[in-house]
Amino acid sequence: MCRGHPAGVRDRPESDRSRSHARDAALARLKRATRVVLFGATALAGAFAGLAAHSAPGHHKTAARTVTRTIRTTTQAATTDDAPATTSAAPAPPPPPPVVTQAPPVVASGGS
Amino acid sequence: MIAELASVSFPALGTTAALCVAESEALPAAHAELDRELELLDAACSRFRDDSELSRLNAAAGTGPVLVGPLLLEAVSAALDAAAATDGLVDPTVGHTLRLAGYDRRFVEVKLRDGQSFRASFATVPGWEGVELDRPAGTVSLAEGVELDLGATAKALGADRAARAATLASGSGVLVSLGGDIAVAGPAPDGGWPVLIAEDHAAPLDGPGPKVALVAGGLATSGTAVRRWQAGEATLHHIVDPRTGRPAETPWRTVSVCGASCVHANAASTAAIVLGEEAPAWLEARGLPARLVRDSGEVVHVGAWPEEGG
Repeated sequence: MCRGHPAGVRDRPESDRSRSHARDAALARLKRATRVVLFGATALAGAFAGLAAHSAPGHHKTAARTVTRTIRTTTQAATTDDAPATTSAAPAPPPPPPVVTQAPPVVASGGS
Repeated sequence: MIAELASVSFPALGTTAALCVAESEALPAAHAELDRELELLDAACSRFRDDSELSRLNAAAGTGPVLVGPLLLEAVSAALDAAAATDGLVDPTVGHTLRLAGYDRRFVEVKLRDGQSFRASFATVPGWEGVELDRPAGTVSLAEGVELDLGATAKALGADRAARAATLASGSGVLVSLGGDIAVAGPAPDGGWPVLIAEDHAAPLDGPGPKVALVAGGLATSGTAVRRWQAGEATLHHIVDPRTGRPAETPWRTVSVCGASCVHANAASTAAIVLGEEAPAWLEARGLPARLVRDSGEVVHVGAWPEEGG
């Protein structure tokens, strides 16, 4: 009467194996992701520590010069949205060229 | 659109400030922003006010870091960037030699001085490497003997800042000119902002010279013909060659350059005056449209600067 296994019971081991595979794969992905995050965090911590060390007072002149340039670059990147390169003379993309016009000028550009 | 343009000009910073808006009703709001920026700029960056932040910073050279306000910090940063971008051809540490040469007061007073009896002297330019800027701390340190003159870049910075602030406040496209150094921001009128290129920024607008239209960025003209003064038998001008500490010996009367901003344009036009004959190649290599006028009157166009009358 009950010799045979119900279909659901008979299929369970395969389903378990499949779930187990999925879990193993997910764990492996998580492990890889954790490694990447840890590596990134370590690299960032190193970079910030280096930056902080350079920013601290007491450096000799050459080191301080390097800091100045780094700070300026960082600031430009941080203010790109609301203050583009207009406040700096650092390299910028070429401007749109002027064109000849016949319209009456509103202002003169000349020496002052 | 052209018919709706409205403009105003007035004396400021020892030169002329001009403001133009693409929508006439925006003029009051834009004007208020320009006034505010000019007041801040003068208080922060003037070399001729004892109470300016720059004067206090210069007086503290050699004493270590000095806390400065955000605008002077930005102006020093822009000046150092200009120095780096031009390999030191534009150097903010020319203040001392400029003062010895006779530019030691507002220019209107320099012009009133008896030039025949005045004797100029010159000093070595200490170099922009003697300036240390710490933006997070908000401090600037000047090495002993360093005296900053931000004239080359601060006016241009003021034009950029004022144009941006005015367009934000008014919602209109805006052009700001400070002594002929021009910044535009916001939507330009149809056909762009029409500008006369002249030897003197105070030239009449119906006078001779090519007319070009700008849609973005900045345009600056540097020249040796306007800001000149007498020192005995010599005639001096205000653009110092940092390599010699003396007014630049240059074949160019004026150099006009278009840049991504007025600060970029000003740094390049000033550097071109100092560079002399190498200037066209230097500008070309940087992709900067430019117009150079020799003492002889010969005109040289660089890059995408349009042919006159074309």
